[in-house]
Parts: sequence; C-alpha cells; structure tokens
Amino acid sequence: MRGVEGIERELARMRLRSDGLYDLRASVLNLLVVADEGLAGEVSEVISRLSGNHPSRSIILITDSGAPESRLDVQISTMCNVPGPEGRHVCSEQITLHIEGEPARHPESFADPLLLPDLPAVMWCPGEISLDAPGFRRLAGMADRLILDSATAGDCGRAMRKMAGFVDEPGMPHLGDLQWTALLPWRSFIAALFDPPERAPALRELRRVRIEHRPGGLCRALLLAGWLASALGLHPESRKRSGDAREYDLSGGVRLELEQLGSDAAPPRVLIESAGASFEVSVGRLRIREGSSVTERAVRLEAPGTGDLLGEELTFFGRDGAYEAALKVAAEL
Amino acid sequence: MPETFENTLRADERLPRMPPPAAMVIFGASGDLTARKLVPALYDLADRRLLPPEFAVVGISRTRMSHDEFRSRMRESVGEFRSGKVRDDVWGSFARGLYYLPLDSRDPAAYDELRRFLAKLDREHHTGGNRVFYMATAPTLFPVIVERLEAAGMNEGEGGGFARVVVEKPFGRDLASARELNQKITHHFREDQVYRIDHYLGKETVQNILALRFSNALFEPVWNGRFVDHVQITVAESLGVGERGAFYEEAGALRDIVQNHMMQLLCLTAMEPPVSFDAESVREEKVKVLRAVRRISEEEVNALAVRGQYASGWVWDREVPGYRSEPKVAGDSPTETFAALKLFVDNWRWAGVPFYVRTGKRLAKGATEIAIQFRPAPHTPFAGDATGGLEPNVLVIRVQPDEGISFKIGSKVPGSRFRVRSVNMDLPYGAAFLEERPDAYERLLLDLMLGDATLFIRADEAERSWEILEPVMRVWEREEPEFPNYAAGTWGPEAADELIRRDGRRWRRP
Repeated sequence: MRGVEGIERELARMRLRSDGLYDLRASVLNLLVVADEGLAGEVSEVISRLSGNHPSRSIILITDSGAPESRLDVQISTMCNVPGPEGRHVCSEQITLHIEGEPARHPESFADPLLLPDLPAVMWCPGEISLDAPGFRRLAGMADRLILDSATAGDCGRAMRKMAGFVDEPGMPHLGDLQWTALLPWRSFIAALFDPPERAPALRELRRVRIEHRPGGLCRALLLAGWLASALGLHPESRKRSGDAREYDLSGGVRLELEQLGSDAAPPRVLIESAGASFEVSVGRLRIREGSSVTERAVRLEAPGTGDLLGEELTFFGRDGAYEAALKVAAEL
Repeated sequence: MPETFENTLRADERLPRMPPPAAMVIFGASGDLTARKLVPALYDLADRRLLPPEFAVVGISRTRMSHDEFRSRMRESVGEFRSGKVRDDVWGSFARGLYYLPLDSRDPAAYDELRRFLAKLDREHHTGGNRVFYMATAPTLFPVIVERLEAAGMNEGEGGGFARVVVEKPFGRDLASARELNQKITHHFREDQVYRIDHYLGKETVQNILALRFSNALFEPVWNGRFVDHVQITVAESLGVGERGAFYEEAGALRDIVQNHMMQLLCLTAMEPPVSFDAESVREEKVKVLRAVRRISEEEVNALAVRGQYASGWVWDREVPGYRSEPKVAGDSPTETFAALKLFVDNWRWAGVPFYVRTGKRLAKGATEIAIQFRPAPHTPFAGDATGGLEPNVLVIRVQPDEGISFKIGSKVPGSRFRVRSVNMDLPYGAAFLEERPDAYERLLLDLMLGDATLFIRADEAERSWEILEPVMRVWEREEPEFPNYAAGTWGPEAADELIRRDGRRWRRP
C-alpha cells in the first residue's frame, strides 16, 4: 500500500459490502495519537474500546527518530460494533504508522493528509511528552484539542508549569489533561456539598484544605488544590516542603496541605474545614461535621480507567476555563 | 434580608447539570408509575451522579407501610423495571433519602403531617426548603391535592425555596375538562410552578427533531410551502391494546395519541425557530403553530378526518384478534383504534401545505416518522426518458425504531446514457453516536428539578390541542361508525387511503 491514496482506497474497499454497495461512513472526529513503541499495544486497546462510542478516524503515529534506517510501516483496520437491538452500528477506522529514522522527525507530513476534512482533530499523547520536542508544535498545531496525561511526567511540578505556559501560546490547541478529567466526579461531588444555601458560607470561612494522595497522584492532587483555590479566588503566599508533605499558606488565611499516602492501598482523601464545619471526602465515604452533628454516608468516587477518561475528553470541545485556571494555580504550588 | 452566598465551585462548566437540593413528594407512591418509572429513573440519576447528595423522596399513599418496607419495595422495582445491575452502594446511598408516609391525600390533616415531615428533612437532609409534588395518582385527585397543598401553605417552598407541581397526562379528556383542570391547578399554583409531563417529549429522538432543524442551516431555507409539497406524520403501532382495554375504551386513538404525541410532532415540525432554547421561547413557538392550525368545521369532519378500528388479521407470524375481542373491550365498541387527519397550518411559512397525520394500532409495523415531501424540481433539462425513475426529494426523520434521517435524491445512473433515478441516502443516528440514551423520565425528572420547563406542556398548549380536535370528537360521538373497518396487519381503512388519494398523493410506506 503506497501513499495516502492507497490508504484511502483500502479503507473504502473495507466498507464495500457483499451486495456491491458501500457502507455509509459516519464519523464525528479525527483522533491523532502520538506514542512510542512501548505504548503501542495499550493505545490500540484503548482506541478499540472507544471506537464503539466515538466513530472516528484514529491515526496512530509510532515514531522512533533515533533509528538508523528510515522506514515506514502502515497498518489499517476498520472496527465495527455488532448492531444491537436499536440498530446502532458504529464503525471506526484506525491507521497505524510506524515511522523510523529521519521521517520520524516530520510526523505532521504523515498526519496532515490523512485527517478527515471538516471534522475536529483531537491529539492524544498517552506517554510522557516534551512540549519542547522538535516538531511537536507543528503536529499539535493541526489539532483542535491536545490531551496529555500529566501523571506520566517525571517531574509533576515542572510539567504543570510547562502546560500552564502552553495554554496561552497563540496557534496552539486547547489543552486537556486526563488527571483533570479523573477529578470530574470529585469536583462535581465537592461542588454539590456546598449547594445548600446554608452551607455556601462555609466556602467563605474556609480554614484548611488537606489532600491525601496516592503515590503517583501528585499531579491530580495539585489540580484539585488548584481548582479549589482558583474557584475561591485564593493564591499561594508561602510554601514549605518536608519529604512527601507540602504545606502552603493561601491568601485569606487558608492552610493547604498535600500529603502522599504510604501505599496505593489507602484511599485518597480530601478534608475541607471551615469555621463551623468540616467535610471529609474519600473514595468510599463522606463525613460531615456541622456544629455538634456528624453525618456519614457511602459515596462512589472510584477512579475511571484511561479509556473512560479519554472518552470523556472526546465529548468536550473548546476551551476549559476552569481547568486552565486550576492549572495556573497548580503551577504556582 | 439575609446575605446570600454563591457557590463559586459551580463556575466549572464541565460539572454535570446537577439540581439544587430538594425533596420530591410522590402522591400515589404505591402505584405502578412510581414503581415502574419514577423511582427507577431517580435511581438511574443517582447512579449517573446527577442527583444532589442532599435529595429526598417522600412517597405518599393510603397503603400502610414503614419507611423500610417502602425502600424494600422500591429496591425490587428498580431491579425489575430497569435494565442493568443495581449497585448496592448506589442504592444504599439513594435509599437513605427515601421515605414513606401512609396518608390519605384527601384528608386535610395529612398535609400538616407532611409539612412537619418536610421541615424535618430540611433540617436533617439540607433539602433547602425546595419541594416537588409529583401527582402519580388518578387525575380526579389532582384538584384535591393542589387545593390541600395551598391550604397547608405548601404552594411555595420554605424560606425562599421553590415549590413545583407535576401533572401527568391526560390533561383532561376534552377542551372543557382540560380548561377546568388548568383553572383548578392554577388557582393554587402559578403556571410557572406547574409541570405537565408528556413523556414523549423526554425521548432523545423527539428532541433530535429540534436539533436537526435548528442546528443545520441547510434545511431551514427550504422548510416552507415554496419548497415543501406536503408533510406526512405517522405514529404506527403493530401492537394491539393488550391489557389496556379498559383505559383504551375511554380514550381511543384521537385522545391517546393525536391530542398529545402527534400534536407535539406537528409543532416541532412546523414551528418557527425559537429565539432561544428556554422554556417560554420554545413553548411560545409551539403554541403559535397550534393557533395557526385551521379549525375544522363539523361539516368538514368527514372529508378531513378518518377513523378506524381493527378486525382480526395477521401480524407477522400470528393471527391476532380484532379490537372488539380484546380483554375488557365491549363487543360493539365504537372506540377508534386508527385516526387520520388532514390539517393545514395557516401561516406565512405553511400556507397551502397539507399535513397528513395518522396513527393506529395493529398496523403492519411499528414506526414513528415525519416525512417532508418536497416539490419536484421546477424544470429538468434532461431528455424525457432520462428521468423515468426520478421522484421528488423526500426527507424522512425517523423517530423510532432505528432513529435517523433518510433523504431521497436524484443521481445519475452510471453508464454512457444520461439517466437519472432516485437514491435513498440513509443515516441512522446510531452510526454516529453510541452514547447511552437516558430514559425519557430520567431526562424529564432532571429538567423538572433544575426548573427547566422546555420539555413540559404549557396550559394553553394542552387546551389548543383539544380545541383543534373538538369538532372531530363531537361528530365521531354523534355518528355511528362502521367498525371494524381494517384488518390487523394492514395500514388502516380504505377511507384513509382515499383521504390522501383525492389530493393526488399517497401515504408513504414507513
């Protein structure tokens, strides 16, 4: 199979039915994935799962610019779900390009002609990515949204600062982070706690926020802290670090504590304390103390998998103002 | 006035639409609607994390039951009447806010007890003085309940909270009874507190009609009498009345389907683009359509309306009984199981365009669709024999099953000759979106708690619909029908074919 025309022809042939007619292609987006060989298997699995809900053309670029020889290997496939009782029949196309050597420095020259016209392009980088890598901005510039996973970064604080700078760069796509997406149930639940009018003042009388996160969960914890601080108009005034614990004095006399739990087994926990009440939220339970009254109840805040997080991101277009505000505060922590 | 604080965490636009804390009081809590629809839909909302943590349900009926017995009954219903596994952790959390009071909704004293209980929930559940009163009872109780609620001071929420009342269809059984019901309800609650629920509008597929019309600039310029020859709206069922014989005897196709579902489909098809998607803008445009529907005089009824009743016949692989042989149906029943009407919407956009609407039970297949038949191209430059297989464009919006659109267009047949024929392009929406569709009640209950009345029926909407059908109902009640007049498994009586044939047109085969 040679060139773009060859790939398109082969994909069209795959839509040809036994009666000689073509299946209609219904697509809602382009998904551009940039990964290295080590992640190829995981990427393919996630995309296969997503294909049922997001009919799309996925272009997976597996690049190795350090390889001594130039080489291009193309694999294409279409994935259709089995029509259910409601007659839903969703198909997705997947084009995987293994690019080695010098051409791998120019991945945009492969991606551009393969993007379906008139549809948004979402770029997903499942592994650690350097926003300063050569050619990255040329590729990212073709996308409408760029989805990263800050948890893959070796240095979370540095990644936050880089990403915070990226969101203001002209010509670059809107940014998303799977760690932010993973916080959606937490944000929704915590926001709802303060919906009763008698509780809303507690946000003004905030004294202390404590976030206990699992090893590897620092980026998520920073974003949650950033979200609370930005939504409440608070900013860090001083900081102190001691091992895996961080303490900040925020404006308004609020103390913020971030602490890493000893193991993955312990549930992440958020404690919000105000003058007259405290709200303790963990993966499985909620504990509210208001004056002398204490109520406890079960809650469900388990972490979704990568596929679900990416799927959630693919339903959102445009600029995520709350995320950008949270990211900017997180970058200062 | 106490200072109000804004929950600034809500500025996060990606947070799901979550209603404020509230207590929902369900009158008729031991009935079918509560068990089959309301509580399963509320559970699903909880499962999707769309219910506020501070939410409570209070079931009310005369049956003696404890809170725990009610919870246990509802747990069984949720398991039985929704697909998918019931999660113990979700149920546990949801059931914590589920209560039951064995009260007689006719008894004024019951409302004092209810009020005290709701105040307790405000304190213990932080339900914020917000109340939703859902009337899942017989319609005869609606006026009594709203009167008692006002008498007990519950027609307004506590401490600045809201109070809403939900009324299930049927909204009366004719214009007079609909007006009387509306007057009684709005005597005790303001119209903006009243949510008349027709679950049809909660269906994703029905809302998609608005999305198709008003998010695509392609269609709107040709959506008028200059380009549209006529419109056909079909709500066909292959099922008979089954166990609903007693209900159907009182209703018939006109009251059961045409007055509500079909009039809604007509409105959504013919309405002008609303200024915004808020409740008043959308409902105002729908009411304008109903106001514009040409009134049928009693003298015209037999020329513009056809009724039918099914006899026995074959539906797919089995022979089915006629309507008069169905359980709880009179052997000489005059109830119509089929209705077809030719309507006109007398406004600038639709002047002269007939809207043919039909609905029936035991038709050849179940299908709901809106077909927009365009006028033929004003001039075809091709040779006479080149367009032999060419028909006018038709845009079909399929509501169910296999929701989607199809479009019939002219296309050249490959070959050395220039021949044009019609090709059907078919796009099932299911080919583009596989997201789980919320149940109609789930969507409507969420809107109700959010205070969004867009998908609920306004009083004048219900009354106008009855007004359009009044002359037909009067004539049909007066004149003896010749029933049965169509065999089960067919597309209705011959007179329905004649209704459209005399205009030089024919019904589509859905």
